[in-house]
This record gives sequence, C-alpha cells and structure tokens, in this order.
Amino acid sequence: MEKTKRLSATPQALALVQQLANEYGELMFYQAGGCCEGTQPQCFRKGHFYPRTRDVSIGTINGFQFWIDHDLFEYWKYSHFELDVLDGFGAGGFSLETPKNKTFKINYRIFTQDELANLEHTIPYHQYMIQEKEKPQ
Amino acid sequence: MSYLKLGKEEGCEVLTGGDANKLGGDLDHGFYIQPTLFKGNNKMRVFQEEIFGPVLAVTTFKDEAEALEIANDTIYGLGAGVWTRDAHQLYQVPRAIEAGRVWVNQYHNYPAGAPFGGYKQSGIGRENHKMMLNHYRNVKNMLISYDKKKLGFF
Repeated sequence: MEKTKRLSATPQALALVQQLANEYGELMFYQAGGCCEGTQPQCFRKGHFYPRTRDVSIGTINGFQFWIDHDLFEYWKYSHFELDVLDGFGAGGFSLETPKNKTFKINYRIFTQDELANLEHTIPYHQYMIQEKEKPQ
Repeated sequence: MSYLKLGKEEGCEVLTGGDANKLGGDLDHGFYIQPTLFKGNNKMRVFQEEIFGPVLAVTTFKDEAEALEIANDTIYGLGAGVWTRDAHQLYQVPRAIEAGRVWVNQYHNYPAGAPFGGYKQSGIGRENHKMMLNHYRNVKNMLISYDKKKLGFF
C-alpha cells in the first residue's frame, strides 16, 4: 500500500516553483513558525539557509526539499501541507517569489486516523547531509 | 483563514467569530476576519502558534500546578500575563513561568528601560535595560605602577 504523503502542491504553486528553478537553479523550502514570515513557507536557493540538524524534511516539491523546524514538527506532524500561492506581498520579503508580487502559503488539512497510520517517513537534516555527501559527484 | 479552518478541524469550540469579516462598502474587498475566540486544548496548533489577527485561544485549569504546566508547555517564552488576588501567587507564579517578561494584574506597561527578550525559542539575550550597554563596551585592563623606582629590570 502506498504511503500517505505529507506534502503536495497546487498546479499554480508548481508552475511558480518551476519558474523560480529556471531562474535560480536548485531550491529549498523552509518553514519555522514564530513571528512574521516564519509562519509561511520560505523559498531559498538550495544551501542558502541552514536548517538545524534535527529539522525534518516532510517531502519534496519538484525534487526540492521542504524543511520544517523540529520543535514545531511535533505539532505539525498531524497535518498535511499543500503548497499554494497567492498574489500579494508576503509578510517578510526574503523568499524568492517576493519580487514577483507572489507569496507562497500552506493549506493545512488534519490527517485522518487511517492516514496517520500509513505516513511517509521524514528525514532529519543531519541524515540528509550524510546522504548528500555519499552521493557520487 | 488557514488557522481559523485549522482550529475548527482540531476540534475547538468557536465561542465567537471564526470566519472572514465582510464589512461592505469601501472595505468590502479588504482582508478582514471576525474577532475570534477558540476554546480548546493547549496541545492544539492554534494554541501553540502565534496567530497574527484578533484571534484568542482559551482553555481552563483546575489549580496553580496545572496552570503553570499549561503556561510552560510551549516552545516560546517572550511575554506572559498573570491575574491573581493572592499576594503569594503574584510573586511565585511569574517566577515559575518561563518567559522573559511577565505582567501581573495588568498587560499594559512597556517601560523603555526594562529588559526585553525571550526564553526558549523566543530569543537570545535582552535589550533596552542599562545593563545591555555593557554589550557595547570593551573591558580594558591597565596595569600601572605608581612607584618612582624601577620594578625589576625596567
């Protein structure tokens, strides 16, 4: 039985991610909670933000990792994340889509009991870094 | 709006509000929400995360120990508020709350010289208080002899 994914994206979000990837190359997403734009997903060039070692990746969008603060993940692990995009200036301005007058957002949905029992595994950042190092160059 | 939806999905009781606020007229296309009061459990996301809007999440407690357990069950700790008529509690409870600033029987004072900053993931260090000026200073150590005679070889 196929595992339930924690992450998905709307067609509009996917199109924007593709556009950003064409312009900037490989990307990454990070969401940490807290103040201002931290509650929104932020899109950076891959390697331009350092997650904490135990932060977790809940999946990929277009092959790019989506990282989440590990303390907040304790509360967020029960929700499905759908990456979406809105017109307008986001809360902060560090995320790559900002100059396009777009802002990524997440639509949440609480997992059902059945889905909770069959979720995809997450990867902590330290484990991901080891995998990356071991990849043939 | 995502949080309002989430609060309902998590099983909160909506005591008031809970939806977009259509105000009509010039404000019809504005992004307003109704002032919202959720009643639920502190483990819920709408309790754990800061919602930027007129949204308040409330819960109940039986005694002081449970109130403190709820107050400290968060990854943040910038500010907190306590109301009590008990003179012991108004000293002991704020000390037990893991927050950088605790208002007691009020939530209004912002003295410019009071130290400001958070516990846990709400930040490192403090600002505004006189002692913070020390962060901008260097320690200088001067070793002066007041003796007119030479000391040792020089």
